[in-house]
Amino acid sequence: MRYHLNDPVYLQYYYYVRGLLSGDWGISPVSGQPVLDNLSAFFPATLELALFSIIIAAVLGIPMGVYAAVHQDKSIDHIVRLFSLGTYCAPPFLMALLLQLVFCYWLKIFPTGGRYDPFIQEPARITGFLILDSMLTGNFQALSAALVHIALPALSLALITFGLIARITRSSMLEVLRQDYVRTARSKGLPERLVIFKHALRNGMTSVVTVLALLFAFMLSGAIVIEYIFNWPGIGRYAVQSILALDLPSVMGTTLVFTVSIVVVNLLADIGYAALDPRIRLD
Amino acid sequence: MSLFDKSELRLTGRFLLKNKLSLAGGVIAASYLVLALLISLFGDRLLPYNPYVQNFAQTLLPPSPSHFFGTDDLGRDIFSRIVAGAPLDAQIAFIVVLVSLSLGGSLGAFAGYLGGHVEEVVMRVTDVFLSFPALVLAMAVAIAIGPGLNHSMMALLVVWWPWYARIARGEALTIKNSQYMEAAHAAGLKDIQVVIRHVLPNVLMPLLVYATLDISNVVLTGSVLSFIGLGAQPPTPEWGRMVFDGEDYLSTAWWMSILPALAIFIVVLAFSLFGDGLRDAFDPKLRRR
Repeated sequence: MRYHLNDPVYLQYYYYVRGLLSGDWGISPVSGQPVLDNLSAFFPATLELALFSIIIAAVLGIPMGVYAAVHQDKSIDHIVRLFSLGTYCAPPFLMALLLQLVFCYWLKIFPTGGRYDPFIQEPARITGFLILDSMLTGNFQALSAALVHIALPALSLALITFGLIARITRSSMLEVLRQDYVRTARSKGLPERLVIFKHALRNGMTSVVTVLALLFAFMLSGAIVIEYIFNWPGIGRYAVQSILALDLPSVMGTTLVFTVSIVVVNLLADIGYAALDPRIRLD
Repeated sequence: MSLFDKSELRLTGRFLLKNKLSLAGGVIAASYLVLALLISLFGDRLLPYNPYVQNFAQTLLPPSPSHFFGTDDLGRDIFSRIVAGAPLDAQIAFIVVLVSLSLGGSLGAFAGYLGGHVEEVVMRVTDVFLSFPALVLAMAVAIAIGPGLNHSMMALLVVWWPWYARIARGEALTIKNSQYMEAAHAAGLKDIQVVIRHVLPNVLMPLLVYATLDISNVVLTGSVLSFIGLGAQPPTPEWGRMVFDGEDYLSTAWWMSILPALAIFIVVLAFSLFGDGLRDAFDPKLRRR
C-alpha cells in the first residue's frame, strides 16, 4: 500500500504528484525517513555553500573581468582569458581534490571535510545556516569553526565558476566602454576610475546578472561533486549517496529541489535585471 | 556561406593558424583522437601493462620510471589505465554530439522552416529540457534506466539535443526569407526537398562550430556522471570512475585520483581552445580585424 506498486504507472504518478503537493515526498527505502525531512535538513547547507562561493566568485571574477577589459589585448588580458578558460574547463572534482590534497593533507591547515567541528557546541538553530546562526547568537568560536569548514568547499566551487564571471564581465565591459556616453564622461574630464566604475560597470553588469543565474545552475551541478568530496552535508552529497544506494524517492526529491531552485533563481535574476536597467520593465 | 566554399575555408584556416593557442588545442585534441583510435584498433597490446590485471605485490606505488603514473590500490598501472580509457570518453563525446547534431539539428531546421504549430510544439518541448540543468536531468535519466556506460550516453543524449534544435531553428529562421529560398519554391521543390537541399546545408556550419565547442561539455558532464557512479562500472578504466575510486586514497596516493582528473582537464581544455578558435574563425566580424 505504501509504495502503490500494484497500481499502473499513471496511478503511481498521480499518487506521487498528489503526495508532492501535500508535503509527502515519499519515504527513503534506505534511511526509512521521509524524503522531505531529509531534504529540508540538508538544503540550508547547500544554499549556504552556494551563496558563499558565489560571493567569492563574484569578488574574484568581476574585478578581473573589468581589469582585462580595460587592458584589452595586453598580456594581462590574455592571462585572464586563459586562466578563466582553464578554470571552467576543469572538472569540478579536480579543483576540490587539489585543494584538499594541498591544504588538508600536505599543509594540514584546513579540516578535510564536514560542516562543523564535532567538539564545539553547535549554535542554537535559528535559520539553519550555521554561519548566520553563530553570528546571531554571538558565538565566535562556532563562527570560526564554521568558516574554517566552509572555506575549501566554497573556494573550489568558486574556482570553477569565477572564470565564467570574469569572461562575461570582460566582454560586456568591452561593449560598454565603446559607447558614446563613456566617451562623453571621459571628455568632460572625469577621472578614469569614476568612468569605469560609475558609468561603465553598472551598465556592463546587466549581462553579468543574467549569467549569475546560469552560474547558479552550474554551481549546483558542481556542488554535487564537491559536497561529496568534502563530505559537506548538503543535498548534493545526499543526491550522490542516494544514487549510489539506488534510493529512487530521494533522487526524485533532490532533482525536484534542484530544478525548482533554478527556476526561482532565474526569476530573481529577471527581477534584478530590471532593477539594474531602468529601461527594462516587467509587465 | 556554403560548406565547401574554398576561399572561405582558406581564410578560416589562415585565421586559425594565426591563433596559436587554439592551434595548440587543436593539435592536442587531434593527438588525443589518434591515440583513442589506435587503442581501440590495437587494444591493450600497445600498453606497458595490462590495465585490468591486478598485482597485489605492487599496490599504491608512487610514480616512477617503471610506472610513470604509479599504481592503484589493486596494483594496476595507472598510466596504462588512463591510456586504455582514452577511447571511452572520445566515444561518448562523439556519439552524443553527432546524434544530437543530426537529430536536434534537423528537428530544429524543420521547425524553423515550417513555422506554425510544428515550430511551437518543438520549441516548447526544448524549453522543458532546457529548464533543467543538464547534469541534474542526465542524472535522473541515467538512474531511471540504470547505471552503465551506454546508459549514461543515452542519458546525455536525452539532455543534449535541444540545444542543437534551438540553434538550427534560429539559423533556419534567418535563411527562410532569403532569395534562394524563393527561387527554390519557384522551381517547384517540395518542402522536404527544400529543407534537405537548402536549409540543412546552410544550418550545418554553425552547428558544427558549436559542436566542436560542445565536445568539451559532453566530456565534462560525462565524467561527472561516471564520478557519481552512473557511468562505466569497474573494472572499466573510465577516467571519471578512476577519480572516484582514487578519492579514498587521496591522503596516501594522490596520483590515483589527480592524474585521471588531469587527463580529463587536458582533453576538455584542448577541445575548448580549438572550438573557441574555430568559432572566432567563422565569425567574419572578428576575422577581418
